[in-house]
Amino acid sequence: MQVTESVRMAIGAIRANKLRAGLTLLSISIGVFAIVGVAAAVGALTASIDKQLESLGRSTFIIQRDPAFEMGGVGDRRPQITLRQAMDFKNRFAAAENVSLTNFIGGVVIKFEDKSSDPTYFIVGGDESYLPTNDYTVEEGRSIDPMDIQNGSDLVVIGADIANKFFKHRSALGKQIKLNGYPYTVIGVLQSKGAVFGQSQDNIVLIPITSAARRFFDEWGSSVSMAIRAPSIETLEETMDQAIGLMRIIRRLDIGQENDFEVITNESLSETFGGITKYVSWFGAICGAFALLAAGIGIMNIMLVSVKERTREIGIRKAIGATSGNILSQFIIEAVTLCQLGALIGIGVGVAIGLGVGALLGIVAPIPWESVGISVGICLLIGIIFGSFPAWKASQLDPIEALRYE
Amino acid sequence: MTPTPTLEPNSPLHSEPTSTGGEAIIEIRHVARRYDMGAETIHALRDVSLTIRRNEYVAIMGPSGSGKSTLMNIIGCLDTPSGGDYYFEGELVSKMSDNELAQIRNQQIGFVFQTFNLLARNDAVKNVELPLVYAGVSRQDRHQRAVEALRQVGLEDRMTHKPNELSGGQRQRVAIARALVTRPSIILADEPTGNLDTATGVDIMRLFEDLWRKGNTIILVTHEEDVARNAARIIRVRDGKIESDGPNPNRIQMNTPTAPTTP
Repeated sequence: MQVTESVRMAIGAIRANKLRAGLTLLSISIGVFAIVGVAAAVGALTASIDKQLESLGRSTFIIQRDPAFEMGGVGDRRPQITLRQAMDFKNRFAAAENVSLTNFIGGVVIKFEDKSSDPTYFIVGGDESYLPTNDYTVEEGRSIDPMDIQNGSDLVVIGADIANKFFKHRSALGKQIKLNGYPYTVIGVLQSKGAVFGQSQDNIVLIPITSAARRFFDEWGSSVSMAIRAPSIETLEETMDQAIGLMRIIRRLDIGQENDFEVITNESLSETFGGITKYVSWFGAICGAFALLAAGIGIMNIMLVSVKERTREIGIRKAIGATSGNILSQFIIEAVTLCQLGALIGIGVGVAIGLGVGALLGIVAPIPWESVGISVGICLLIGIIFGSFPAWKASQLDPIEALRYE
Repeated sequence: MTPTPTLEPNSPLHSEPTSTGGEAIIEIRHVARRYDMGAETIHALRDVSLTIRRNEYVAIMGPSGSGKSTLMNIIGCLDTPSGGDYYFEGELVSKMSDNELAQIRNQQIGFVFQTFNLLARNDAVKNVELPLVYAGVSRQDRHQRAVEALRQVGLEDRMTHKPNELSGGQRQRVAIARALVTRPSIILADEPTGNLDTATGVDIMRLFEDLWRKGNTIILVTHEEDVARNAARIIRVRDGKIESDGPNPNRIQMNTPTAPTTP
């Protein structure tokens, strides 16, 4: 008897017990969804991050104290990159087309007149190239200029959300707000950039990095990061080597000593991120595998019930000429068909989730074919493994007894 | 209204098939069947010998517990004897493997059961096709032959009905069509009228008569004298032995087919 015939019989049997089959399908679908859904979501995320990294420019690299994704807390043992070191670097580093200094201070309270925010804001200490590098446009007023940096002026450029929150229908320009109690004068309001992944990009507060160092560094202990743009992609390697050399001099490192700072390129970032997403994908796959194992036991249970209920049918089939092998393969194929239908649903939902996440991030998410393949394979195995025992029981039924079964 | 089962015009309506002339299909030699029930051994059959030839119409009779069901199971290759030899079409089946037995059941024996034993989910054609599925017949041929078999039992207009949309008599006709579809050497019917009312039962017996006249070999297993009287030969079984075996002197002739009376 051909496999297609068995599959047709299996679909008939599944349709005869829609609810029961449906519930079993569901358990399989959840497992497959965990594998495919996580992989699809991670795929979308990776694609989105790659795209964002791409926008940073491929000739740009960053020097900062801590690794981009910290796993072990290396950074804590390293001395900070002080503003003095960074300024020194910027002044002495002729090979770069541009050096931009940044620093983040978290947990800041913003206050205007009697209105006060929660201490959840980040302040960016930056220089004149922060806004263009990060794709912000000034809507009203002006940006920070080199003079402000030099003077360490207490001036601030605010994002659209903050402007709306504190100055609804008035102009914010020239007003004085307090950042953790220190007065700052608003010189610019930025155009809204909208949200990425549900996270507003318009809560930005930008002050001159020199002012940030004076007001916040002692208090918050902070390290400066430097974005360095090489003149071209071809000169990137060379520029990086020079930058590392200069940085080692500034940091007074001996010849044998390791760098006590990180150099991050787009490539190294996406590599590191890729490593992390691989873990996440594996985590999804392992969760899914356990879910599928549980579903497999469910399949076995359902198949045992099904064999019991269809004892008479098995008797009839044997009486009219079905061999034990026919019965065995019929029930195994039924279990496999059930599993694959479940897999199909899980893959469908999983891929949909991936596309959804992709849409949210504004990109077309890739379909995780690898996970789809793995899921189909696992479901095939589960159908065979957990279908075998019930199928074997069915195949061993004595036709005379089975025909008598009520 | 079910149409009359049609007889071919040149069928030997008035010539009785001979009961001894054909070659032997079934030869049972000193067959015994024992069941071990713990400490006790039950002798369901003791030293049974019989021969059934092609185109015979035999009734196996006996009260319940007589061993007639065991004999039927052995004849039908659903069970194998504990002792003695059973030849089917000259082949020794009593030593065959399960798969070989399945093949004999599939190709040489057409079963008709008291409770019809149709698959509830399948329509009439699909039920009739089922033995051909296991025989490895192609889809197209299967369908064609199933339709032909259903036509033989007068159900050509009920082909897509499921068992629960058919009357008892129609269900038994589907079962008979399923038995016929592989063109088996014997049709083995176990109390085929047991679940039918009298009039429908008569229709079914008329169909068997018709099939016999067309050359089929029919073995009826029954405990009802009325049913057994249709057969040309009656074998009586009691206490696991053959009590008597001979031509049926009181055979009712049902050689004028009339339209079935039940829908």
